[in-house]
Amino acid sequence: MKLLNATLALTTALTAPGLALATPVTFTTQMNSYGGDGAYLAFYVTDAAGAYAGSLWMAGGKAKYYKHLPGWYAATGGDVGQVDGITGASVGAGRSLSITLDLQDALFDAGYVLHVDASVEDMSDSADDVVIPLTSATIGQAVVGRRYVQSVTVSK
Amino acid sequence: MKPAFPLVALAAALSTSVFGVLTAAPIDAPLQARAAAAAEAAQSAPFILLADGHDDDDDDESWGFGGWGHRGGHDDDDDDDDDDDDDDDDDDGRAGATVCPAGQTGCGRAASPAPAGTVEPPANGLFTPGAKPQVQLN
Repeated sequence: MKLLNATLALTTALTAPGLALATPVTFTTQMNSYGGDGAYLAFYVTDAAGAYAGSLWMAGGKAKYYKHLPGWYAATGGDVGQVDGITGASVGAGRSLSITLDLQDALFDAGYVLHVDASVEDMSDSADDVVIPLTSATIGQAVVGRRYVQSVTVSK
Repeated sequence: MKPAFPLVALAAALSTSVFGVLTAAPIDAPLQARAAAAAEAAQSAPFILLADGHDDDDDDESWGFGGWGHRGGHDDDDDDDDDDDDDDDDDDGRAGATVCPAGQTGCGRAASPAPAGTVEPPANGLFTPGAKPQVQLN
């Protein structure tokens, strides 16, 4: 019995922290009716020092247009490896994009900031269309975008 | 320049008919030669351009008014949410095209990234290993 208890305690101790580290986080993006074609959107995160930490999502599958996502491109040099497996279709005007990702809890309340760059064919590029500090306070709050993005809401 | 081709082709076709009639009458050799040349030009002219509503200058990456213009004059996808289906895959996707500054890894290719669900998200420390994104577009 003692051996069973010890085994249970050990397995719990090993698995519980791992479970606690990950949380499904949903990013809901509502686009404005800007009157153009589908927008390319780059979701990426910077750390407390403002350095690029990684990409969360790329809406738009053609790498040759990524240079029109200024902040993301400056941070990554257009490295498509940064968005392998996290790339989907561009988002049309007036449409809504909902992305649910299993993210590390350490992303929140640690100075990380979500940036969303946007670009639309034949229209001007929009770096930092939305900027959201990833804190407990911003969870569930719709943050208004500057140009193509009407709002982004981060929810857990 | 290209809009002139259909006009030239049309004129050549009309000329061919006229010259065809004229060849029944005695005419001088240079005129016949010109008629033959015109007929040949008419046959080889790209008549399909007459039915093509857009110019094909293939400036996929031209900058419009500050933004990118990858379809030139096309206006067929006003609610485009599937940019992956157009056929303008030009040279930017070739292997070896360098898009990263010196010193960065994972560069040297401009090919499109792997779509979500086909490979795991990058190991950038943000994602839980093995978890795939869920996406909904409305």
